[in-house]
Amino acid sequence: MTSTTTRHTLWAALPLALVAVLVLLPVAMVVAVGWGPDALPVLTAPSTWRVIGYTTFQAALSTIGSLALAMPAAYALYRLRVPGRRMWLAILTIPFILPTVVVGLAFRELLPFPGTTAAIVVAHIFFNVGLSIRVIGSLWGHLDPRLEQVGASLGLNPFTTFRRITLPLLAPAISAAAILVLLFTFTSFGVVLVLGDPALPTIEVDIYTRAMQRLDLTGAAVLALVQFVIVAAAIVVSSIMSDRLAVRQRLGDDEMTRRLPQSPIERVATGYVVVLAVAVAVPMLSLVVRSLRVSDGWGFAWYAEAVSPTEGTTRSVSALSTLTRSLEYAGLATVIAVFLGVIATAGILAARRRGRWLDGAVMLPLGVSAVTVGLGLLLLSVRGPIDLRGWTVLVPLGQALVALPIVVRVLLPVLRSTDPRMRQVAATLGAGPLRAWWAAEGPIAARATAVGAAFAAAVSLGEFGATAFLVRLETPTAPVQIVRLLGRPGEANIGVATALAVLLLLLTVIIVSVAERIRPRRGGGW
Amino acid sequence: MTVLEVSDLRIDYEGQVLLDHVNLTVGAGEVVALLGPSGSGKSTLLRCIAGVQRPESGDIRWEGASVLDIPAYRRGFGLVFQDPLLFPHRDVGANVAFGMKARDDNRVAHLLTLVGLSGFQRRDPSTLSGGEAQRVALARALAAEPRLLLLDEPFGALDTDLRERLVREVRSLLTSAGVPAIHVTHDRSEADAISDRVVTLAELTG
Repeated sequence: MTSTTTRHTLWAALPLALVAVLVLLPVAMVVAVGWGPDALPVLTAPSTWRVIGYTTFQAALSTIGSLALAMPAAYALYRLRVPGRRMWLAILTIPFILPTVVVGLAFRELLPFPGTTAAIVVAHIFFNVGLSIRVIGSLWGHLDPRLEQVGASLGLNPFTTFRRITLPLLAPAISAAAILVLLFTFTSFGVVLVLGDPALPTIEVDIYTRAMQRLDLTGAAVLALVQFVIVAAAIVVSSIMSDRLAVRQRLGDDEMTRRLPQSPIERVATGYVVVLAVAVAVPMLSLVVRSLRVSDGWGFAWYAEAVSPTEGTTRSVSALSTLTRSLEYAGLATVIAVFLGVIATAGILAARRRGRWLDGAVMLPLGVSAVTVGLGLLLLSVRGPIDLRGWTVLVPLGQALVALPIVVRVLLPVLRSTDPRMRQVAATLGAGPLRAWWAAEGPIAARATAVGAAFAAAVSLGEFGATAFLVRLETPTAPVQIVRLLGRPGEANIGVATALAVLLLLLTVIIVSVAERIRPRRGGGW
Repeated sequence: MTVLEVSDLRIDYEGQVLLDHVNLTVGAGEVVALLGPSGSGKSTLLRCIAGVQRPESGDIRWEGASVLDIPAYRRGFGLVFQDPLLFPHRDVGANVAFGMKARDDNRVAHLLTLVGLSGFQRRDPSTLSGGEAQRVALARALAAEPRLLLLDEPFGALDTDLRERLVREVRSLLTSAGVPAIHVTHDRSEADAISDRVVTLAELTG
């Protein structure tokens, strides 16, 4: 017994140490540079607190907006029979995986009020409403509708029933969605950079400006550290809160039967799903339209310019070459992310119950933010023991660390849900341990890995936060080139940026739909 | 005197006729047992009377006035399901008080004593046995002071000994409260023990 435990621990410890070093390295560099007497002037500056305040403000608005818009749709999609349900759900979920700068650009061209807080909030809601719908809906779909009928039979009107029965029972899911959206919008970078007011930076944008434009690496590290502390505190508070909100309710394994909408409110909710899905589709479609609008009407001029650029401009870097470079980096990042993700997942599973905290540790980069990963790796290359400047593998490494949590999120629930008795059956049929594992879990593990790889590829392809710090000026990736083109005046630059964004959008959508197709239909996760 | 009158009711399920030409009356303070095999539509009939489901045609009248267009929460008909369906986010006391206009702790204590669970106020619903939970559900329904109580096989999931004891208790409870009730069951002896009058679903639709 003891030897088995020891063996499990060893199996878990060694590879996990490797993952831990890689994940923690950027954070350690940020701490090493940001922690010290140099931090004081940054921390006491009023401008720092204005930035922190504004970051919190826009994140709070975005979170409230996302949840408010998600609730009626979650109700309709998980409690009512909505025709075309899977399609609506798919459309609403697409934004979550789209490159941030592509979305930023789409809204910049679409909204009448770019460069405002409102524009940022709208784009953040666009990103997170689908995620909120899924998180809240998956609990709502399991709530017993008869509880509400009991409420009615006790004389509670529908509004009171919702407030006193449904809402408290949904509280765990609502708070889980809230903390996720808060994390994503608090650390959002690409959207804010493209869509925000340059005079009102968020922490991420300020880190970027300090590090890349003012060459104030120490100040950037201090801010990254501040952000890390805030995010860590938020996670601790939310886990305490979710313990208090947790309701000991018995939920069925299966979703409750969804019924046809009957009351006017239910029909309105169903119609709302369609409106919301259309609203989500509009920015993506408008980007395509925008890329075809040229000075004298409609055409593919921007695409032509993207392929063979005019010499002597920012566009002289051919857009197509940035796209191929993005694909190369994304390919390498995917290999690294899947390698690390498989190790981490295997480690968490082997560590059994003690793997719970590891589970959280691998999620760390989600809270650390892509910008911190990028800054950390930049600091490592500049101030680390070995000079790594210009080391090309840093870009895919940064992207891989950003994609790692998603790979683990895809793999872990699927592998956790496998039935150990399958392996035992295989063993009693005379299969050795390896063959038994392959027979029981191999195919599903392979599929889950493929899905994880596809998501990692999509994330890396559109990754901007970490990449912006690590990429070399003369060899930008597609998202970096888009932002650079937007920084230049002139219709041609915007035109080529939209063309490039559309190509990036198409590639991402293709990759994600492949992933959805091969996704195993069990386990949980995102 | 007749208080509830169900006349010529038709109920569909998934586009198929489930029940048709249903006629049923309940007198003041009368306990009627509705007997029929599982899946015959007894529960659905009860749900229509309670107002959580709408019949296709026919009428349901209370003291002569149709209640069809009155939503469930204004009908004042208590409904107890086969599962206790206690609110998991509230303790037993709060569950019982849920339907009260204003929380009255003395009445909560009284009702809990009535169902044989005195002192259970602070208990978490997840710690109760099936029989205890069902009795809390009954106390909760009574606390809302319904003018009619609808019991949908409330003892169906319990073992025989417990069921027989609860049937006796509930019978005396209903008598002392003077609340008219419809008790749905598929068990003949339970129907006989609890009610003033036993009707079968076949008789109702005949």
